[in-house]
Amino acid sequence: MKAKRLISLLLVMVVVFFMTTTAFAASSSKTFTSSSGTIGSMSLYLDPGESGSSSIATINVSGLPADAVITKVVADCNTMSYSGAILSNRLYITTSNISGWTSAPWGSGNKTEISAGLIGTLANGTYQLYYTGTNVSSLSPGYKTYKNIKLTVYYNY
Amino acid sequence: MKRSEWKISRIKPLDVNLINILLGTKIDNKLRMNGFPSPDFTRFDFCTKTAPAMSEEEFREAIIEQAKKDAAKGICGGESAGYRNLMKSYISVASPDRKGIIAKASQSFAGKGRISFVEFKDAGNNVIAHYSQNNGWTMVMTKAEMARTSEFSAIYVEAWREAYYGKGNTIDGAAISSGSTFSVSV
Repeated sequence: MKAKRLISLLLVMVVVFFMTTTAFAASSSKTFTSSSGTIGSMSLYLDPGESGSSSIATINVSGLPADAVITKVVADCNTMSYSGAILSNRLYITTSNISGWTSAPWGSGNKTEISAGLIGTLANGTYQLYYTGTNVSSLSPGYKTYKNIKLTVYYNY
Repeated sequence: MKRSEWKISRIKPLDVNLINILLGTKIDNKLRMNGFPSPDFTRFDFCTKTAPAMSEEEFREAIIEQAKKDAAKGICGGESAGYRNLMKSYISVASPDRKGIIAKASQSFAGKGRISFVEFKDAGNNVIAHYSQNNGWTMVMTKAEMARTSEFSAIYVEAWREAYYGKGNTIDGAAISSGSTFSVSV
């Protein structure tokens, strides 16, 4: 009888412990597309053999829970116009919640995943992106513009 | 009037802007210092090494207080000027000496004409800044700055949640508490 009471008491203690310490964090993601104008595009013109950085594209990320924090961001840059042979090297990104830029190597299929420098930071805000590239041709100038960039923000809240 | 005097009298004095451009001290109508326009280190996203403004414990308390203030106003993160100032101060403790690195490197470009793109690196060969004609200056975070950013965010978000949801505010109708131990995909 005493053993039963002890087990019951222990069970109650366990339940109370988990009720007071357990919380649920939800994960989700949302995709935002940059506007088709200059402000939503990354454009780069390079002379033969030169390297450089593109213009900056801006995307407003809003409507997520106020306390949503980033787990990763994926930039899909599959809408482009180009001439010549510019090789995209790295994608740089910042948000209005962090005080600097972070980057990742240009991803295969023009999809680049970035988490370093963004993980755990607040998700709502203004995002800015640019890429660095090299004109691998030694003869002709080139240009490459990415527009309608699809930015998927993965977050916890 | 002698022919040589006539020529001289008809040559207009060079415009100051044109002189600057020819000397490489002005680009796109912006003054250049040692080949570049000087980065504005007062900007939120331009961090350079600074002495800590307070102890780590005081920083922690200040971040928590800022989160409480912002939660009371119903704002969160970068939209708060207090958040931006405090984050910059917190991160700069771990920043490289960008000001010094850029100033030193820029001297080698003085008077070399138009410079379209430069990558600045620290002693560890990490990129710390870009200058380009397209974008001007962008400061690239080091791993130490990223770690500091992550620490700041964790303290701020936890305190913000406690203050905001502790007052009975809800998100999508469900009360949320901090110290999450489970993750549910939606």
